[in-house]
Amino acid sequence: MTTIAARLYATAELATRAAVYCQHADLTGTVHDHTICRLESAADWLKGAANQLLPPANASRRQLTEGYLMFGG
Amino acid sequence: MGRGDNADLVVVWRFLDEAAQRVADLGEGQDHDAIQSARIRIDDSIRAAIRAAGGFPRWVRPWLDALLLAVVVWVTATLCGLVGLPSGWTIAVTVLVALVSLLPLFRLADALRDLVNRRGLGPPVPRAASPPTSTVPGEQLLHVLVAARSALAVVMRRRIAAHPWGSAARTAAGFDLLCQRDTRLHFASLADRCVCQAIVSVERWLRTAERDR
Repeated sequence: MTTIAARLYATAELATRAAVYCQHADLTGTVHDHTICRLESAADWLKGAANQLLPPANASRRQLTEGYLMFGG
Repeated sequence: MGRGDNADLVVVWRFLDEAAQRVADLGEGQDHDAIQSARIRIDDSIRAAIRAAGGFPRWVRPWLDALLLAVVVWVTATLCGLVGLPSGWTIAVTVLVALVSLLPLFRLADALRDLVNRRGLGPPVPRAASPPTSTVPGEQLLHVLVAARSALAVVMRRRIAAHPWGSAARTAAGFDLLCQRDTRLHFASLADRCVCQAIVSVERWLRTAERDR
């Protein structure tokens, strides 16, 4: 479980990096906001999945609510 | 980040504040997850934009935490001394109170940080009576969010231009590196990504509303 969660976190980090790269391209006006949104949402979902496998000790009620909203309970 | 950059962030903040009010109006009596998601993303982007304003240097935070903890320890030890507890009990009670008060103290420090950052953006403004560009409330909200993104792009471009290593941002990897090193640019880019998510959520909600009509 720990290995899977770590890989999910690492993939989430990559998705966030990709979103930042798209933001850079967007500053020159070539990328649609949907691409950034999907990458950022993918990162959120991956972090949410990793948190479900290994809930962080400091997970707030708000983070859990967000996870509920994203995964539809 | 100079005064001019904060002036740009004030524009961002006003757009986001207006978007938050509009999404609250839209979400009234609605339980659609897209509108709830948009509300959360707009709240996140407001928080990130406030942090992008700076005003509360990163090095201050550990010192503030230590200061607040020291005050709690000193007050507890003094009270124990006044009550007449023996030294062993005074130490035990003080350590216990310090441990219990850690989380509330961090929350207090967070609130102080947000207060200082928000002061850098000036007082909250009443809702602007901007002429509607569309009669559909959801589409008006989309226009406000797109305007917020444009304002955030201005903030990021100016921040990069003023940065000593700004030329590194000519490449995507350099821009990513700057975002990691520069707290204010990081939070501006985070606010921008949250606004993108809010835009897509609102579009999803509009499509659903259109289908249900």
